[in-house]
Amino acid sequence: MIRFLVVLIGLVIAIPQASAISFDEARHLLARTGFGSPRPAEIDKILPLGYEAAVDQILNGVPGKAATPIPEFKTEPADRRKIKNMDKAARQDYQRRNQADRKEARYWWIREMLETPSPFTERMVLFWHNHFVSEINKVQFGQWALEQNASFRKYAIGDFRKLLIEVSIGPAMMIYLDASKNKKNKPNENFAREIMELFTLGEGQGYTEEDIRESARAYTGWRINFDTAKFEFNLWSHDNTDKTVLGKTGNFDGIDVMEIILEQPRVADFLAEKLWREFVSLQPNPSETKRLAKIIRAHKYNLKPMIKAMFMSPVFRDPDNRGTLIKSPVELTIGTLRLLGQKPPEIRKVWGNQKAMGQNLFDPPDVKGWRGGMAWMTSTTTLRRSQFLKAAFNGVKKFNKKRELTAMEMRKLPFGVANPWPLQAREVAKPGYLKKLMLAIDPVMQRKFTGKQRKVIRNLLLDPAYQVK
Amino acid sequence: MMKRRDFLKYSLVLPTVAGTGLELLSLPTHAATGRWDRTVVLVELKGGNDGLNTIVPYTDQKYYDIRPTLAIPRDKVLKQTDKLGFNPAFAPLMPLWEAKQMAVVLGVGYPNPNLSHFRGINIWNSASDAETFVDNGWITQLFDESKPSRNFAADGINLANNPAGAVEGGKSRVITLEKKPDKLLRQAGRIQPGSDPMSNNVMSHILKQRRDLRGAADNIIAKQIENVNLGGKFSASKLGVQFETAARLLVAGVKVPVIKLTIGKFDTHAGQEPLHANLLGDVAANVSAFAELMKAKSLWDNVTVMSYSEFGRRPFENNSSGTDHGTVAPHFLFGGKVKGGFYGEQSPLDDLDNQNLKYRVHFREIYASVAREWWGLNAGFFKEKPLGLFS
Repeated sequence: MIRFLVVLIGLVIAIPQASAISFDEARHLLARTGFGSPRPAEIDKILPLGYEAAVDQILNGVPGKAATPIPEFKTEPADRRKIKNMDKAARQDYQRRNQADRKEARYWWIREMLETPSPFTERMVLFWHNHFVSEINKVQFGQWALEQNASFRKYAIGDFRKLLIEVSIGPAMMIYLDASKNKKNKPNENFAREIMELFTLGEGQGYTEEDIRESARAYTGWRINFDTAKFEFNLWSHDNTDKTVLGKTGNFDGIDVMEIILEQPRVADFLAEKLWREFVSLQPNPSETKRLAKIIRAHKYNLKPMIKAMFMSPVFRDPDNRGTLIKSPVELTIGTLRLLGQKPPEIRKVWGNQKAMGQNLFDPPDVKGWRGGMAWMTSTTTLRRSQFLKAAFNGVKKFNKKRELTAMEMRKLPFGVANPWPLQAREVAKPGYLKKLMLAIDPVMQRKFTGKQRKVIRNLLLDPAYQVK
Repeated sequence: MMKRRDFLKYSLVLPTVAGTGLELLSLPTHAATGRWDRTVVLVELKGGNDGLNTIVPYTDQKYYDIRPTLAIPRDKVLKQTDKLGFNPAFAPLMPLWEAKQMAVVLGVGYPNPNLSHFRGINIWNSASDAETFVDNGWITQLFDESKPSRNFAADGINLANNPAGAVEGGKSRVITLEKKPDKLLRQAGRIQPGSDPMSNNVMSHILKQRRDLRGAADNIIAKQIENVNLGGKFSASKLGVQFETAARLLVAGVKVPVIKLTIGKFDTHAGQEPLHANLLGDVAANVSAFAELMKAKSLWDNVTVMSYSEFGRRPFENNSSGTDHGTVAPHFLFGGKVKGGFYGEQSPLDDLDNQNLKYRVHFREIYASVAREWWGLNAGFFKEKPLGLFS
């Protein structure tokens, strides 16, 4: 009886604690919803809140649009025939400008990630980029790639049904999956296959090769009008006969088929499994993902309630779940530069480092995107990651603000310079702070990890434990 | 011609052996010691190679009917039998073919083929059935029978930015030396591996990468590959650079069972030509340069170059002068110990399954040949019979 009372009292005490956020929990939530390395100020901002309120603050801070202005492009999209008919000099000039546009699109997104007040927005944009994969070199036009990128931001945690349709009929996806080449009598199955395999149902889940063949006929007649850069439906090349897709028969068009696919309960499961792997754990957890999928279905593909439930999940919050995901190259670079307070003078250098670590934005390896998870870390990327961290750290130094850095100094400091004092001041106020801030788990190496010296920051950045979030 | 004879030989001899019960005896349960000092250079034709435009059935009118824009003109085909010939881009390989050091396995595939890039390559990498999922690569599975020496640089060296799936998984030690191997090795030689007290398997993975990298780097650095200069026989393409690095490693005396190369862009849904011919030409030129060099260094009997791809392509061209995902394709092996010639059988165009070719040779027959005839293993988990590809 006494023991029972003790347990009861323990429970009563435990309840308010369970809803109040601790430093470690705030760090974990921000690391996972952001770029792996939250800034002290970001943690300060949610520390006074309860856990649920902190989750709400992050999700309510998703504005659906970018913080920085879209770049100006140097070319107008033109179809292949128009480009072919240009004279040689004009064509070369056009293609050069086109290439510059593609670079600008990449650099713009990287800058947006560095500056955004809502890292979670950009993480979701990146998630969708790796879900609705397209490669910019096939898409050709930077503005089309960014138009798709804007759809990802608009529906970041919103209506998946609208996102699916908007992305599917967007020029980037139409070109990437050859949808505009899919014609009556000679269907091109690329788009029909990937929409089921990659976007909605998952490979081999509840559809057949016959469903792909049949639905390819429904998508016939789609094309891009290069003058308006908009989707057009060409009835003459549409297969205007019955198709049987996923057990339903009718004279379907492409949108009809997408609606039929979205009626499959499996779609919500597939999304929940993928979001789980991205944000929670590499270990599948069917009971949790089934529960989360139900929330997606209950809210008719509005994802926000499910995403909130995912971050509220005890599996996500379990202290043993910290440090169990490898930071992607984008997270490692953006997170580190944000943490150290660096403003890279040339975004090209950030891009080059991400690419060398295996994540070239707008250029995933193939339609399935980056495999992520353990695959981020190979012997090669191990090296590239430590090269990046050393280079970034070299810019963390006190410098004379009265003078500009010389060109020579800039070459050695590709990511610019940042004063280490804001971080060191925290360590001085609270010894051991930097270790708790910068690492999700205990360090691996035997090094000096506390103290206000500059090398403490270096030791923390270069410890293998810094690679996980 | 040779193909017919080989085919007959196997179909006659094997039933007899099986009939006497000797087949069971010939598959002993004890493990053999693998000849891991022999290297296989895997060349992944990423995207799904179009077999019909690689080995061309130039007398089959149906081929010309279903490929109005893509068929290789009859007079361009490098004719080998009264039915089959090579894509003209294969011209650089003709000396190897004539020297009987190039095997062409026709009609390669498997039952219930999967037409997804990822699942397709998983099946090929893991040697699983279409319906089963196996985590480890097929070569990694061979390591269960016999482990390569710990004195080797690694179990596999990957030279491209693409997984070396066949030799990944388990405790396999694979290192990637993409693009600038010399620079990477110097830096790798300075990596501090860190001990591994981790219960967290992601950290274990990270630390293992560091240990493998440092170990391999120390091993290869000791062989001084930077001093191996081969001259400029390889093309400047990504594949050419990979073949050149492979050659430098082997010439320097680096011991490794598998070197993995990748050439991409085979997913020719639209505007297939001249892209596909250029890809085949890239493969042909660099295999030829590699073979010549290996012969000059007396290493050709110790190396096998082998192609694979996640699937073949649809016999019918699509409306974009391209081909969609298909099933069957021919594959190739090159080497001093390879018995050249045709194996298997061209899948006929008048016997299709859902518009796709039916396979004649299971891809695991090739793997079983490599495992048993080349590496000297029992590889009991391959139920397929080897093809007799090696002398």
